[in-house]
Amino acid sequence: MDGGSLPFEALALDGSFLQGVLLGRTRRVLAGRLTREGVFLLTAPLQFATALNSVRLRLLDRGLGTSEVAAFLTEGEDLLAELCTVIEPGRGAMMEARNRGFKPGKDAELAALALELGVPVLTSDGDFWGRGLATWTPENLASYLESKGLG
Amino acid sequence: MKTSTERLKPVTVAEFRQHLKRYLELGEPLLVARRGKEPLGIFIPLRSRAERERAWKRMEERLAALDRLLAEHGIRFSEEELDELAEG
Repeated sequence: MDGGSLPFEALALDGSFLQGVLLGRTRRVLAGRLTREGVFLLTAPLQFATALNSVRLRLLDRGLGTSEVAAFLTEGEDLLAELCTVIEPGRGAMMEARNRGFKPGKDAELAALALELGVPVLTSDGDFWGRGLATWTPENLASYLESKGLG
Repeated sequence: MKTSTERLKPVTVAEFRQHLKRYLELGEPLLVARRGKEPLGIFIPLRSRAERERAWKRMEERLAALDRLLAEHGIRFSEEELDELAEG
């Protein structure tokens, strides 16, 4: 990372942020800034898989054909894998996440990963707040980057 | 901790020590684990700003191709929709 201008060197991404990178503009811009600043981006396997499955359902719901959806997802998965590294948390960290009230099969995997590696989570999901985890929302991170001249 | 997708390559301390030069040249993150099991940390090679800029440019071009695929079918997601989704 250039000059240590950010208060973290790695960031755990939630599934909805990954969806936003594939489908929208705002989160994509933020992903670009983080990549260019050399932040190590990571996520949990469940968040990664859930993001792709949600994108699949959304595209089918909008009437995109199954072969186009498959093509989109193949490229999308490859892209997200280049953007971030998928890491499965250990059992101890999963127990800790459960003890803090995170639900397995939903948020616990990502929370456990963040706890295990000591990295903040990028999420807008209020379930992550007030449970002893450092979090950033895309909005406050974008504002922070702007204030540092990295916008 | 273990990698489920093989995207983060696990190496033992001995392998890491022995092949450090090669790992530096590869420039990929590694999971360093004692006896290949107990994780000690993640080794993240630093990339130059120019390399990072190039990597993002490649990703941006590929994302633009996905946008075109959706646009051809008249599909567009508003930021409001994505914000609602993100709030869980």
